[in-house]
Amino acid sequence: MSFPFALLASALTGWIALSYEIVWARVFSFASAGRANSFGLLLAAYLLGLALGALLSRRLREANDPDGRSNVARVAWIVLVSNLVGALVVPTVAELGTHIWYRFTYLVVVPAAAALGVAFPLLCHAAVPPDDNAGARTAQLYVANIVGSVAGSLSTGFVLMDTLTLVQLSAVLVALGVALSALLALYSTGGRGARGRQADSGSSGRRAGLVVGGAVVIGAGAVFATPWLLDRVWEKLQFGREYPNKSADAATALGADARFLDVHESKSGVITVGQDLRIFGGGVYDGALKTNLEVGGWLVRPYALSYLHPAPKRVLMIGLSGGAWANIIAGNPSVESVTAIEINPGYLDVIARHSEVAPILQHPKLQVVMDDGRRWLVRNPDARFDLIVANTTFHWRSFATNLLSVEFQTLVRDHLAPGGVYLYNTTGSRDAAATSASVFPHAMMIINNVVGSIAPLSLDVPRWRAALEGTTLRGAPAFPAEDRAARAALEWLLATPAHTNRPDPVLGEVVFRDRAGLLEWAAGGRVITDDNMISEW
Amino acid sequence: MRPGTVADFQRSGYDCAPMTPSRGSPNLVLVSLVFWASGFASLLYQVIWQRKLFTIYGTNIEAITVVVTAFMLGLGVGSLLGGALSRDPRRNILAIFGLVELGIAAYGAVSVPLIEWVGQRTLQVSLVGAGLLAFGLVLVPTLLMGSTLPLLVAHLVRRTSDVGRSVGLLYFVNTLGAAAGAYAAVAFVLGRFGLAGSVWVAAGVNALIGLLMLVEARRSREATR
Repeated sequence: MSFPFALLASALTGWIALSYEIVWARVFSFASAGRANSFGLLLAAYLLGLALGALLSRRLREANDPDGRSNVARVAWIVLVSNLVGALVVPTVAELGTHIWYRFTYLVVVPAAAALGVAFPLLCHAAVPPDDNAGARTAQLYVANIVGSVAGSLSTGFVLMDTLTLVQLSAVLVALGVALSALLALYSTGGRGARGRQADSGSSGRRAGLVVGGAVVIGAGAVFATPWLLDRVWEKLQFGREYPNKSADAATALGADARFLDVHESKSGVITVGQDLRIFGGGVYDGALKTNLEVGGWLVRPYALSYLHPAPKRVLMIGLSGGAWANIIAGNPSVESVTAIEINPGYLDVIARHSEVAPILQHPKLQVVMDDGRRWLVRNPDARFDLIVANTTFHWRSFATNLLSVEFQTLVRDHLAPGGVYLYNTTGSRDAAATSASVFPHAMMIINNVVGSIAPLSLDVPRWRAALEGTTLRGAPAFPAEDRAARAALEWLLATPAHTNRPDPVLGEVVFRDRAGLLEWAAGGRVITDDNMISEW
Repeated sequence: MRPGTVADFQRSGYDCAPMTPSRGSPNLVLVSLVFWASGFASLLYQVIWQRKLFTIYGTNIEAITVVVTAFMLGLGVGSLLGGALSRDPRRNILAIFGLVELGIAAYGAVSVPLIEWVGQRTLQVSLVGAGLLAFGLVLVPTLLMGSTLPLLVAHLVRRTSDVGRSVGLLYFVNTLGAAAGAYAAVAFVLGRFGLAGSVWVAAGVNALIGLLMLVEARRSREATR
């Protein structure tokens, strides 16, 4: 086997292996709804597979192979099998996950990683003769493999995932794997190199033809089967055993056709939109593409700004998501500017596709910054806001600590203007609420959200009514006099403070809790720190 | 993350290495346990350090990719370094291995406050700058980690006649240790000990390995006299 060819094969096996790992990391993160343990579990399964693959590779080597062609042929077979097995991981995980707990599906990675793990040792065995240069040649093969791995990580993570869907990317990977396998198989037939010329040229040509023909058939079959294998893959992964319509939640999101209304894939993640206009980020609920308040609805929270603050002019939103809250907040008559920090640019595309929220993208008050919210705050220490809003994701998701910890809440507090208010979603975490109570001397709750302030909160219902009357949505009043449903919602909303610390008779939940109510609700909660990451584990 | 391609290389590379005559049998069980624990600790560190770096430089896909790439490069270069160190037959490889483990333990012990300290002073850097800083912060420990397997494999190459079987076993247990480390990190270590506590767990494992290997090096040297 010529060494330059071995170097190329080494780089390509690295590229493919890392690309698969990145794809699997995304899929399992999505299937687990972004749980903190997802990546560690995948890594454990991947490494276990590699370990088993190493054992397997010892049995597959041909010890008596004077011209090296048998081992190259074996590498070709292994590359083919490992890529076909690798390509089956995602459809298998998706399908299995509709029958069994998704956590068991991590085991699907083990055989695939084992197959991928066999390829490189065999390639080394085929390409490096056991002489005095073995170390140096192995090092070169290794460098090629690392270069391929890094290139796979960067090109797949940065470029391919941003331009291709999962279906397309899977097809590209399997096609590349089959092509590499065919090249190796061609080499083993003696089509190249001095050793090959010793073989009968006619027989060699026939074998080469068979290899090319076989590769085309297998490659084309795999590529064309991919869309079929991955049909409704995100729906299956997200709803698991509830798929297709085994729960009311799944049925309303997927409808009769068991499909999402919209799926947006990019390097930053996967956003799905249900038929009921609920939006999901990374496989978990992230809000709804709805802006109109309904009686008993949870949109109390963004509509409550003027109850909490006399005149919130400068607003910072950490997370834009589907844009519903941004529409409502920008429609508040006292708000002059809204700076929204969003980590996933895909949300802008989703917002633009849905008329209920799309106008926010042209709203003169809104400025969108693509960045990590915490990093932006750290990098803008002098920025001050009357209101900071973080309708953040679930507290048990990976890296949720970064937006809930005492360090982060202190960082937010330091960005509040005098009299400023922080409103964020605890998503039911008593630890988060307890953390807020330790950071903000004045705090209260709106349903599952905490309101924190350095100064005493200035709660005022008449001021709130005036602000709501002046609130606009998509250029029109949010609560027009002739809209009886909207007016009923307005009156219900303004009556909710009367039931502070008690369940609202319509919603059935406590809408407002004062500080004493918050402390009672958060009793037993522990302070979240960057170090202890309590909410995630 | 400990990329499989790195470990694959390490194994395959030494599978290809020329065999040398046996000069006594090392304690294979001890060495296997050491390799398992070394892989276990490596994955703990990687999960912890990645987490710390993501908190400082952001959790968007770009930041994550550059940090993961920095780890891969460090491990890769370390592997080459370990291979180079192991070539000189006069070197006491077990002693070097023990010192490397102690070096990892020492870095681990100070790593969390060090990353925090550097991070606080480099908040304004660009994505490329963050990548370089991440590389710099993990360079020393990943170089050391990457060098461990070649070192111990070379030690076995010198001392056993059955290289292939020994190396295969060691690579297997090392990767199993890495898998166990990845699992343990997310299953209970991080949740129970937090970031700072978890890094002490890993450093403790490395320190124990280092001391054991120094003792073994001394015993081995005396046995061969």
